[in-house]
Amino acid sequence: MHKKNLFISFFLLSAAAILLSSILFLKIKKTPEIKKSSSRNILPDAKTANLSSLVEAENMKPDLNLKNIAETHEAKDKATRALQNIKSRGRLPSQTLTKPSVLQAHSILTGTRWKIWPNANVVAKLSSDAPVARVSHIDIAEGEPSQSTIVNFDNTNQIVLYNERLQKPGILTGLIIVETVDLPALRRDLSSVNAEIVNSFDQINTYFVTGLAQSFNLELLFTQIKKWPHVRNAELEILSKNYEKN
Amino acid sequence: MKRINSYLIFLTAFLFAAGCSFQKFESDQFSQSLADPLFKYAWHLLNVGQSVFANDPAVAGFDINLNQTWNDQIYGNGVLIQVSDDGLEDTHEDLNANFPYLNVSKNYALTSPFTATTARPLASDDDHGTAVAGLIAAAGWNRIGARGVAPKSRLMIANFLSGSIAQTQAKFIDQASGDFDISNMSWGGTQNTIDVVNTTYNNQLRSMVTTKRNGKGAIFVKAAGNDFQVLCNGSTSYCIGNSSFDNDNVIPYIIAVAAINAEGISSSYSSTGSNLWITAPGGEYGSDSPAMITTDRMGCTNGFSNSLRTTAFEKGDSPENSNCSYTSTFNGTSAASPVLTGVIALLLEANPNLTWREVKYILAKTAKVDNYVTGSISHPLNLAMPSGYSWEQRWITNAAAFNFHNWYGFGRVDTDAAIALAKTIKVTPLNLGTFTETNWAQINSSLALAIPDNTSTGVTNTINVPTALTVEAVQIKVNITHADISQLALELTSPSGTKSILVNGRNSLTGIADFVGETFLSNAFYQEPSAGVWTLRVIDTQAGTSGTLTSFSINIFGGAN
Repeated sequence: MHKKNLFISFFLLSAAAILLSSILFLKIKKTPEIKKSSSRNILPDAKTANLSSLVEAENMKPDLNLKNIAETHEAKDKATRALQNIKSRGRLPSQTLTKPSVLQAHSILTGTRWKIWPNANVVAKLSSDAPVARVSHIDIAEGEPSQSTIVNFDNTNQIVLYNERLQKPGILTGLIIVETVDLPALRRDLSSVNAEIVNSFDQINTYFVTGLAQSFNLELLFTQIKKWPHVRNAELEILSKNYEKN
Repeated sequence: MKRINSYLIFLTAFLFAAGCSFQKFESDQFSQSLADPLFKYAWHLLNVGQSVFANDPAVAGFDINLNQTWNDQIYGNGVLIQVSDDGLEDTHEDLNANFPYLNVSKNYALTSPFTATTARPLASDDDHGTAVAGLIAAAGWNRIGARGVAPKSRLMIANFLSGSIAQTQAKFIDQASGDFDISNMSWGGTQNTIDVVNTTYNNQLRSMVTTKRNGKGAIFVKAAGNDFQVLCNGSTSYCIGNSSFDNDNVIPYIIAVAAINAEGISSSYSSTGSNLWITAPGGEYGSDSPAMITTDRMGCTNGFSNSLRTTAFEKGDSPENSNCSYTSTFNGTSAASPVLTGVIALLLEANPNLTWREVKYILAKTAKVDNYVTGSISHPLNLAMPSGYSWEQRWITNAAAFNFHNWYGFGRVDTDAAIALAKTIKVTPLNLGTFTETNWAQINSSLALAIPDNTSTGVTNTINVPTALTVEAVQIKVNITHADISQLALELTSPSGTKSILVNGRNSLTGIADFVGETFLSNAFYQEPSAGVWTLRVIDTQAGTSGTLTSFSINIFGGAN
């Protein structure tokens, strides 16, 4: 009797195991099916007035099936949590940049809030000197005057700027961003002043240009380019933004 | 023996019951996790209240609702997505299948034109792009790892954000060019400073949305920012930032994405602003509340998950992540953005004819409002406002019946609803009218309007817009003299009476003098009529400094019929 019971139990157990395995196997193989959430009504706007019966969509109604969170998304809760997370992640305030003691205005920067920061240099990233600032992944150090000037711009020594209003540094790269209505004319004219296009964006008629020689007169080049009749707009490239991962 | 028999019979009955119940297992999370072992942690795809190693579990239901879409076998097939980031580990076991090496990627370590088949991480901390890519297109049903929202879409990479790359203007513009369908930009500038719009970038984006995809337009998805609290400008204290302070975020050719956490509320870090379009899951930090599960650079010597981390999953001690190829702690609007990018890939498969404007319309129209509460929000840092003045407003409903909130945009993305509308539009086309921009035609210059100090009334100025459009976005520019613009709030009211707060008072722009033509964007007037009187109000929310409004201009984007 006991043996018979034991046999029946093993039989049922085996059957159950086979059933379970089959179900799991089929679940893996087949295209996933997931329950759809409950549908909602639509409040048609002018564009979908004639589509409303076809669409289960809306921007209007809260989903009342979900937990009401009215009391928990107060601004202060968010602020408190944000600060806690900032601190727990070690994102503590960094040293802010003090305003440079010496700044020089220049006519090429007229109409902007930028001035030349003469005692600052662009340095290689692996420099042993601690940078005083970092702009667009380029390090800036204070100390030696830059080898570049506006009229004798050295492409290997970019000029550091400072914006007193925004209290931040920038880098004058020596590139001029030119929007033209006549590319052949731009090429011809650039050739005549010993300059060249280094990056092209034909779809927006915009070109990044610079002097062909390692050293050139940036002020003169910029002034000339702005006067060419086919040039719709010309501006100096000034890097000042840090694009950060969010 | 009887006891054994009873036990066996009980066990048998249990297994039968379990077998039957598996067929009804809530939302098939179990089977999904067999197909992709880490799916069970992907609360953004299927939120069943899992805790994902955090102290507090998720709140079931707050996900992107794509069940029906996947059931319909819409996986992002045929859609090419650029991950503009810091590089991508294309050899990753869960990404490689969706990385076709098309020689359209951009490696900015090369000389112009930068084209390459791939751009792998160059710097030791180039971990971000691999995580972003996994949220979009980690391969599905391959029995390994996680799953992307669009698990059969194709990836390319531009490594503009790599720590080894100087972020020049040419590279910045270049990363917004190419023949992709969607570009995901999980990055931005710090929101405690301000600048005028980069015209070259604006032109490039306009070109891309009007010419690519045979004129239907490439789609640009951008993280709104993580600067809800950010260092005050020039200070070591914290202030409230604003997504609109990043000048790239006020261009209407991008879709700015905010983040919600697994409880369905605005993530603690998520930047706010009238420029937001929509919200997608971005999680919290993974300790108090779940972060996001995604791919990570393989091996335990690099990436977010590595041997220096403390939890078993993150340091490779868990059999589920023994090679540190995945992370459960990725978060941010950096995570929300690729989730939305994945949803848009699904939309473009469901209806390849959608234009960039129709994509935006569908997302806005079908977004879920989880908690429709009206009223005001006080300053998060308890800073005082002028008597009778509200720092921020909650949900508003505009005159075209669209809900909007500066913390959520139009709400939480709802994939199934969006796909349903996309399919409907395939049959019954949507007529958004001819895309038109008023190009700053209306300007009030030479103003000299004193802004009263610390009063709720502020100063107002109006512009009458004669052009009849259906609004898709509104930009304003202001020139204001004021010694500290962080004290100023800006509000815009439409001819229909909808008020949008473009800048909140007592913000992160501390110590910056004057507005000098910076642009602000509001999406709150979506689909309202443009013609009529628009009213700007400037409020000085802090005593001690007064200023003057000297010019105000408006630019409206919309459809002309």
